[in-house]
Amino acid sequence: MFREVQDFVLNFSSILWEAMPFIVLGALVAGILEELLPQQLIARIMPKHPLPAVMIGGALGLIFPMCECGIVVVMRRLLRKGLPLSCCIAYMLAGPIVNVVVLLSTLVAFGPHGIGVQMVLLRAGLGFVIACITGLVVHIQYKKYGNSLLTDVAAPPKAKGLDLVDDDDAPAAKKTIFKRLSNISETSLHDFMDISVFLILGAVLAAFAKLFINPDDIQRLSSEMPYLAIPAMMFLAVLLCLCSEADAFVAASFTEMSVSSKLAFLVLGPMFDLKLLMMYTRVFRLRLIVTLILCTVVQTLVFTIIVHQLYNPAPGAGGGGSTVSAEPTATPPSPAPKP
Amino acid sequence: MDPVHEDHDHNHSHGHDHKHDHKHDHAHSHGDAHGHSESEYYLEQLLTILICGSIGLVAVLMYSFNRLNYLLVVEFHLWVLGGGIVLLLLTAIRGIALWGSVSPAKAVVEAHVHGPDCDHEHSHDHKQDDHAHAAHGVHAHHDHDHMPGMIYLKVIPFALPILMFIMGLPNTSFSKDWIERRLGKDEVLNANVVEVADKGGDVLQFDFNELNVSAYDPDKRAQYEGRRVRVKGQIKAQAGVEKQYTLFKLKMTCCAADMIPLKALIKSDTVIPASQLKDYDWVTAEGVLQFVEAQDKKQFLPVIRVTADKLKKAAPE
Repeated sequence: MFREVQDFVLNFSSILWEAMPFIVLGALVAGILEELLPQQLIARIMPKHPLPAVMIGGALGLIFPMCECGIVVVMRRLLRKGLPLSCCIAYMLAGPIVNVVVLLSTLVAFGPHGIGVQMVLLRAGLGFVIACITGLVVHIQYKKYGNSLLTDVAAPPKAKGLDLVDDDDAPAAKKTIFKRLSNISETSLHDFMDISVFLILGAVLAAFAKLFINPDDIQRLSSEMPYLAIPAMMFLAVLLCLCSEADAFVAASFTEMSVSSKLAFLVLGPMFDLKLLMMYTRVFRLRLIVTLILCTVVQTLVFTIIVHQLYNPAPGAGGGGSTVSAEPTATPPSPAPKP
Repeated sequence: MDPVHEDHDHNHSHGHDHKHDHKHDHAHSHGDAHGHSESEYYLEQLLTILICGSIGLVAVLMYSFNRLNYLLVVEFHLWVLGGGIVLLLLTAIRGIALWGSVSPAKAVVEAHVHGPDCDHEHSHDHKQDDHAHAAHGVHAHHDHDHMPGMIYLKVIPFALPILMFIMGLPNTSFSKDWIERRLGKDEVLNANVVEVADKGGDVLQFDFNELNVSAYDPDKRAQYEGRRVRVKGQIKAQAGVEKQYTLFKLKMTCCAADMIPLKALIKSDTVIPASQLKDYDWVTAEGVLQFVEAQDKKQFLPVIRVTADKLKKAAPE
């Protein structure tokens, strides 16, 4: 019993304290954005059409890197500042994958296995595509339900996020520096607390789940039943709550798993895990959370199965799909894997 | 100016059609009709300051007491320190601002209290007045969970990390059970592996990570095979196989939760009595390196052939 407590404490603390600095960073960025970013600016520069908007969102992580803990806070403020919901969703989902730090760590982790570049391309590609498609789905849903998809904190000032320009937001003419600092600190602390509560709860859940889950068992189980490998790794990604900079190393350590299942682990993990689920409740309402989970899980599953069929170079990868199948499946948008 | 209330928005979704003109910094505080009094607001602010300050302080102390060693790789220790300092700074600024704002005279002058029956038609003829109340927008920060006592509920989770810190946790690494589970089953080698000849030469000092990376690279395998190497790690006797040990090191990438075991296999020439070498002892193993294809998987495992005297206890890391 004591041992379980010890392991629980260690798992919990490590998840929490690793995420903490990044939540602070996220909250600080959120506070600064809230205070200094003019309301109409985003709406003015964003394209009106949802597709390019979503694609910009999906690639925003390249310019504005954030890990998945910090990004929720930042995204929520961007949402309030009038960035369209679909675009926010795409940024939130793709941001922790499509960014330089994470892709570099993926390269380093898989480099020794000889599939570093392929893994980076596949991960970034799938992450981007899934985020964009989810963004579009959310866009359609938002048209129907509007701000009722969002919690009060997150709801943007106006229902039709795209054309809110009419606000002559008195541009901060006579604010003193202290005034600004004070506002930033208020927003930042508020956001930090708001999200941290759920980070803590998520870390508790994850640390608890980890007492019962042994990655090695999953590895063994799925080497016996290869088609379980992808869902099993997705399940593991949700439970482990790893940060996206580190998860590639963990995935690479599963030497007996197929590349596709590792890919599923790497793509789903930064989009949806227990701690993120808890944090999402501070931004989205149930309907949207369900949409997000369904979209990310189903797409990850479908795309990684396609990848599995087309490309499976892993040594000892079970699954029997290692030969290139002659007919690529009907669903096109998976990024062309390099054979 | 009232720093507290100015940017304070109750984002109620009651569907007033209105829009504020924020040309002047007026403070607005919704009346009790919304179940939220001014004192409750201050209470929430004070609690926020208290909690954020404590978390910031704990972060700084965790760093200075080296409590993070079990949790995070060294690179991240500074991040935690930085996070703590930023939190403390923000808390200080917020505290000063809040202190200033309580000044009663100002509060009375500036507080523009929207009563429940206040007509919010301040300005702007909008062609399309479908804004939700949330159209306070620009300066809106706050959400309020419209439940008295919700504030206290929110505080509870924070007690967990703070209490753990006060109790001196975490004060140790993972339990042996945990490590054993992470190590998984012992690597099984083909019985008929031909031992490579000792190439001699200088002893190569190997980092565990380097060793595992080399195992994936055919060129490096060829280069190092047969060389004498020295590696440091923890040792564990293999169940049922005499003279065979697993040498491992738990490698953290960022935090303890992502710890993965790096493994090598040690073959000793003689049986080492358990009294001399206990499981999980730290040792340096010096011997001839060979890469052996593990059974069932096309993966190479570093195997180090040692003489018993070259398996020396080492300082734990």
